[in-house]
Amino acid sequence: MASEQLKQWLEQYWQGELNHVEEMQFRSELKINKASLTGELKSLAEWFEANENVKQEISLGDDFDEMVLNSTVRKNISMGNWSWWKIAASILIIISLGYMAWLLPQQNSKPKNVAEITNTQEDPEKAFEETKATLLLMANMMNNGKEHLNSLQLFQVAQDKIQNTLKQEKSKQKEDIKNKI
Amino acid sequence: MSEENYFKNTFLSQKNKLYRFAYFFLKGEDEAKDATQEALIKIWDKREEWHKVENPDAWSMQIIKNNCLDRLRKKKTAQKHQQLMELTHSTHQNPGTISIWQDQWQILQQVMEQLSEKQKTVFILREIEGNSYQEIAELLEISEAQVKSDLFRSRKFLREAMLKVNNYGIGTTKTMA
Repeated sequence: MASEQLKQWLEQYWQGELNHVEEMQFRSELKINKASLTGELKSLAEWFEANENVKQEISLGDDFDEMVLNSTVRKNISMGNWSWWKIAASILIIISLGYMAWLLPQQNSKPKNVAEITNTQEDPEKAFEETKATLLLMANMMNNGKEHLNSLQLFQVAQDKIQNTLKQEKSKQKEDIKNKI
Repeated sequence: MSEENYFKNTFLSQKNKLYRFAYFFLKGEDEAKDATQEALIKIWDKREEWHKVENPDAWSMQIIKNNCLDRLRKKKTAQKHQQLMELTHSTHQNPGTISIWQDQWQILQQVMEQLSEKQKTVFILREIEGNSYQEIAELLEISEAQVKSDLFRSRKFLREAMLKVNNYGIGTTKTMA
């Protein structure tokens, strides 16, 4: 390749006027004729060569691929499995809740052994009667309790009397003994 | 094709391109790696939208670009931003190559420091990745004329940086032997 042509391309290169094909050709010619080049052409040949080296040198290994795949594709797969677990667990919870929702009303509808307290809110008179009856029952129970308390009080009074009598007899006996001496 | 295979073939296969892009923007291996991973995870999370994407390359490039810009905004440490790019990769090269690599690396840094975020993007896609004007225009959703204009500007800086390094010995070749 004539050096004139290379110099012409060089000038066009600096001006950014070479099209892609011409520039590739220029690079290729500089690479082939590198040994015989001088000045700017030689500098540029070295520049192009260095750029090729850069592409070789600045690169990532296969371990990088593994790292990326672990953080993307494989993570997604494990996340996918995890999602199935979550779905399965959700279904189980829904079924359990559904069963409970079905079971509770069934149990509530069964007759109870314990006497039920009827809802009297809708009938005030009935409510009054019920309350009256309840209060009467409570009053009777309190009266019974009071009677028990009275009997206990009597028992206490009797006990006190016996104790006082015993004390008096003891003190009388002591005085008699002193007088005899 | 399953989602997994589509992801692997269409997006994960572009990891190095995305990584390089992030690397030149963020100027650090670890951060660039994190940004690339984050971008790919985001792409996966948006899999519901894949069918709407006409140009997956452009779409993934937009995602990494936004991620990088977010990170730069968050960092807001201009000082860190100006730090020299790491030269960790050059250790595997032979001494002659290392010296060339260092000179070119210095040129690359000088150019990048003078470019806006958009110009930087155009420069990386053209000079490093070798995308056509049309592809860059599609990727960045700008006109081809804008791509050429940005490229002209960045090549002006490139030419200046090359002259500086080669003529004034700023990036003098170091022999590692």
